[in-house]
Amino acid sequence: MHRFWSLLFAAVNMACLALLVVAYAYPGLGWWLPDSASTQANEIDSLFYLITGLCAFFFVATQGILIYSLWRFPSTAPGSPSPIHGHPGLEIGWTIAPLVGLLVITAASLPVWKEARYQGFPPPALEGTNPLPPEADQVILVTARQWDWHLKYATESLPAEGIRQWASVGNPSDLIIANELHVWKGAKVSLLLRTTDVIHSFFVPALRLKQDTLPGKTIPMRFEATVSNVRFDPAEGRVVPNETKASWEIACAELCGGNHFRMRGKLFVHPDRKSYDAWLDHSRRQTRSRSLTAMLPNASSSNQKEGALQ
Amino acid sequence: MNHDSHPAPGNFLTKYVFSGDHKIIGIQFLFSGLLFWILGGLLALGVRLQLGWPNQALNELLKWFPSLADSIPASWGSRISPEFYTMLFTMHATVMIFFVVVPWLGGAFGNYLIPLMIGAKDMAFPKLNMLSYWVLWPAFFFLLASFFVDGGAAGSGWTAYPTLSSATQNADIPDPGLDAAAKATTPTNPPSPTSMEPGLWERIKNRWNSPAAGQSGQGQVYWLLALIFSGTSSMMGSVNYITTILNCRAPGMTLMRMPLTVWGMFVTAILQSLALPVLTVALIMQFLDRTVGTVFFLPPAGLAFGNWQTGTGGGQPLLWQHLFWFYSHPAVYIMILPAMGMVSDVLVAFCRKPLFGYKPMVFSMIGIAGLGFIVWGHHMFQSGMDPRLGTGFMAATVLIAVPSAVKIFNWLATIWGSRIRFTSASLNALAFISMFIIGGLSGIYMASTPVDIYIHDTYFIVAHIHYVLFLSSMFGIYAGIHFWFPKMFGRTMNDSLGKVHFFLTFLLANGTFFPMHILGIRGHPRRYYDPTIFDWLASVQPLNQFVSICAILLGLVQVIFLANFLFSIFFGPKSGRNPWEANTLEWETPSPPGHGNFETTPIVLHGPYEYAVTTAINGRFSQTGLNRDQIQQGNHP
Amino acid sequence: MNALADYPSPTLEVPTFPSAKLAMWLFLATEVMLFSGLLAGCYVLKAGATGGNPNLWPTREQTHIQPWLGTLNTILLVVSSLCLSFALNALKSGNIKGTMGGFGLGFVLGSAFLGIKAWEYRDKFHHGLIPGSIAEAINNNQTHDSKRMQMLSSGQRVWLDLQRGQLEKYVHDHPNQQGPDMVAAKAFLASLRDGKKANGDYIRPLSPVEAAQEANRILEKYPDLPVYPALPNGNLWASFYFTLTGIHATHLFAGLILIAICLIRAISGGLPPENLDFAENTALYWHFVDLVWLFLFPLIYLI
Ligand code: HEM
Ligand SMILES: [Cu+2]
Ligand SMILES: [Cu+2]
Repeated sequence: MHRFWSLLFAAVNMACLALLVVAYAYPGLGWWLPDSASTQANEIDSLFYLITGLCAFFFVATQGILIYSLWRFPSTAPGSPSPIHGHPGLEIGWTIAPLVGLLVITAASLPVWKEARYQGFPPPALEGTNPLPPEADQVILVTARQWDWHLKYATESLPAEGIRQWASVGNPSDLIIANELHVWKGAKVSLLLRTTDVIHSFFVPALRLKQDTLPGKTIPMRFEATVSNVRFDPAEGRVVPNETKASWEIACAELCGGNHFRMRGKLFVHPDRKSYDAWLDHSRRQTRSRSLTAMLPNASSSNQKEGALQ
Repeated sequence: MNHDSHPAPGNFLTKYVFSGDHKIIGIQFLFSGLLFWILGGLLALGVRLQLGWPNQALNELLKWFPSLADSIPASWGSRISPEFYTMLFTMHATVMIFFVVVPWLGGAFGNYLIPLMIGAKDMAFPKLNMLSYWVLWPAFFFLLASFFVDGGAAGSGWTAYPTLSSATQNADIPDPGLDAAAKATTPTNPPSPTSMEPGLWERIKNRWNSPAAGQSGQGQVYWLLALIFSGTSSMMGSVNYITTILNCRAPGMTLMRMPLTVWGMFVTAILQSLALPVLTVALIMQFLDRTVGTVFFLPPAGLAFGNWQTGTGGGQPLLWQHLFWFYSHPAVYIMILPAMGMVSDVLVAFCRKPLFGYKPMVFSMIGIAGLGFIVWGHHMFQSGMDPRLGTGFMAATVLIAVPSAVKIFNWLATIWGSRIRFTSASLNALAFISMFIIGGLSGIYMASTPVDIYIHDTYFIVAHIHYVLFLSSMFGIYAGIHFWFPKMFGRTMNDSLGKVHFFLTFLLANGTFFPMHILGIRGHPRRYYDPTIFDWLASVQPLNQFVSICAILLGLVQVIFLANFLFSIFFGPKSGRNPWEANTLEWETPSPPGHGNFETTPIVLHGPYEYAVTTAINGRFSQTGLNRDQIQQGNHP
Repeated sequence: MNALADYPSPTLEVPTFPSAKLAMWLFLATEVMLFSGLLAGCYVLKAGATGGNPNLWPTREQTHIQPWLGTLNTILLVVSSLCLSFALNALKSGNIKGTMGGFGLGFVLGSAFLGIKAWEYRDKFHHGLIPGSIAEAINNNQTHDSKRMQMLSSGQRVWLDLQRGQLEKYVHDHPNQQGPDMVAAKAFLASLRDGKKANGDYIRPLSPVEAAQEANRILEKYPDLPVYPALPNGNLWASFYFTLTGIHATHLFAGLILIAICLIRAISGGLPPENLDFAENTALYWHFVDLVWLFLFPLIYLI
């Protein structure tokens, strides 16, 4: 009977491990990381696998010892328990070993974190009359509200007074659409995230990008897409999926009320700037007749929502 | 003994209700925790019902319980409403954390065990102790009443982030549409001067009835009040515990001879007394924001909701997160350190072998507690906090995993070379260790800031929480209940039923919570009412359903435990003083101990874990050096 | 192996620190954390809101803070602390009259503090300084960008309502007054109301922001009119003021109850000199509450 418990612990732990392995080994199941489509996504995934490797080692070792002990040392086993109170050498060893592993993880994490977040903090782009962050090809203002995303695309070069002015007032020709993020492959995209009501969190799984929007603040974020999933078809006047057939979504990751789960958007990565520009031009012509006032907090959003094209 | 001794209680009321006896108070905490445990479990099943069968939840429910049909509002159809759903998970977490795990570990076991284990007659302040239980009742009241107020109970998550939880409309324009229009059309007829300034009470009511979201209205105010009272209770308890442990130990009970349970409680009490006041401040601030209109968490420009706006602000929503996590990160250790101590004691008693590395175990607890104060920011990596701070918090968080690992290694070394008796108590304790490994490892993923970008606020976090709180702390509590039940009630719980319960719970809890890692790796955000509207989550819906089925079964299985517990109180086989042949002081008193605990003041000669002593008659030394036979005959020196 | 030899024989540990006092110190430690959290939070918020610019914080005149009242209150508290110390000493030396006198005077001084505080609160309310309903235009117009102005205007309807009510009451209560201040008050009131002139012209009422600016202008000329000023970050200021002093006053009130108990016990002879714990803890707590005030006083009255 005592062996039974050892086996139970073994079975449960192995089942857990097996679930992970199956999820990893059969991507068709859709139980593992979704597509990764940005430079940051690739780096985060590598880090994820590094941690998984170290954790798997630790997991197998410790659970193995536990399960073996249960097997080997039940009260029915011959002999008597050993009267050991401790062992300084062992203590030191097993303090240092995990420390080393953890420091490896930290060291590997730092550059990725720096790359993902340090630029633009504190946001220089928003101070004074700085124009664009110099390296950005594209600036998109994302305004969250209960319960959708409004994305503002600049169609001309940004005003001389700088990006801050653009973010709060904008150009008449700006394109504002709901829930669609359009970028092109290789573009260095600079997002400005803000909200008019509660905290939301802009989450794009395929980009491994997530950032809360904080009331009263504008938070810069950057990414660079590495795979494209659509192109603009001028004949049909809309974006069509390309051969990857990938459909990438945007979600909200911070509780923002009853319809939190409804803040679904889509990510469209064009193959190049040409396709993107064509889309932008087309969308703008479609919405030109409508008066696109700057996105004031309480402005009625109906005309902005319709700008979307599908 | 140096505490104010108090007279033995006379009548029923002073004996069982307004009792100052730490044992009665502990049992009071145990039973109220039990009731809330059932409530919290039912709320969780509501959550799982929705996630397993989105939009069909009520149909599924009615299949099984047709009699519920009348109590479901017709307007709901077959759906739980999204707002109701937010209330379910908010109140589930609130109940489980603040009304089950904390009261059980700190309130029930802390009260019951500390004086017994250190050889004291009672707590240092029996009256304060009694008060610490009874101020929980206002908390119970507000918590339960909040389900019945307009708009229902709180629904902004157990973390209650502003501005969702705190934004309110201007007090004086409760209905912006009508009121403004009415004022505009009758300019020549100004309201009488006296009626111009609304009373304070009206302003307060207007505010709390005009929330940012349907679920953060009056219920949120009640939530805040409930937490303020439960915090007061914990604060009183902590001050009492620290004083008792420092001042009321029996002769010879040096700090380094205290059982780890007492160490766990001691460190927890210190954590709590230093961290809780900060939460109290935050709760008061949010309370004032919601009622009298202060602007602590309202950003300078105010907020604009669909058809209404708040007043002018001036504060910062992020401040709440800092204050909240400054408490709530230590709080997660408050919810596990006592369990770690209890598990160590249970484990050693059934391994019949000294605890490996007593001092490292103590120091790692202290280390966890100390580092616990500087890692709160790891909950805020994606919150908009300066990322350079995030880097610092990552470093601290990584360090805190080291003492956790040290504890695991020491437990393993304790088991190694022992002779384990498999009982319900020891199995639950072993499961604690095995499962805490998983919970600790998932913590490392989140400590790495870049990986946390992706898994923050996904089901990965939910998996982590439940591996450390359900599969660790709760298993620790199960172990503790099985182990100390004989002391509390003088009878033992049925071991076979206990093992059946353990077996099923162990399987089903893993079935419920392990797949959540997969959901999280897939990117499934937490607190989602219906993930199926997302294409990329469609593939994990079968897992969601599997989890729900396991969760429902897991809930059912707890009936075994409940039945065993209640039945054994009255009909379990009588146990002697020391059914497990353990060494610590509580086993030298009758079961249950009488008023004043010890017949004579125990004199402590040994550390708590002197097992496998070859020179001793029974292979062990109890802490007072008595051997078993003497104890059972009650022959005290 | 002689296991027993490893263990020194037990020493009876007599706690050097009495439990009651230890518990009081622990409680004070939690209180320190409470006030630190509060003050740190306030500091961060203020720094965030003003960015270090003093023009973006209400002045003492605008908030009707009277340092001399604060100073008086400080003196009251310090003297009351001394009284309690005196009472304790008297108690130790068995001088029960002195004990009663010390506690009695301490109680009176503490109550006087609360009385002054209550008067100050009333004064603040009287000047419309209620958190959440203060207009926030502009000292010198810096840094309030247009977006913020938009939002402010929406948030100031409360203020506007209060303002209108206040003026209406004033005009109503002084039917016979015709001075220039009354003319200004009436004109201001009219400009707040939507309506038509006698000749039928439509007048647009002032927007809240305009009204706030106008209010400040009027106040400069006629400071005695019941016009609520517009204060930069006034709502945050009011939040701090009432929360900090309110929490402190609550503590003080609890302290008064403790002192009253001591006093009653002293009168009824229930304070034995051998058992000083309760009286000592009361004094300790009272000193702590004083100490907190010594932090709050400069923060609120001097800066
Ligand atoms: C090895 C040690 C641990 C590490 C490194 C660790 C790390 C973390 C991190 C980084 C987070 C934030 C994740 C996020 O929101 O993105 C987190 C969340 C959490 N942890 Fe841990 N943790 C550890 C142990 C524990 C223990 C022992 C407990 C409780 C007994 C615990 C309870 C929680 C809870 C409740 C949350 C989620 C709070 C929420 O957002 O609702 N953790 N942990
Ligand atoms: Cu959301
Ligand atoms: Cu934490």
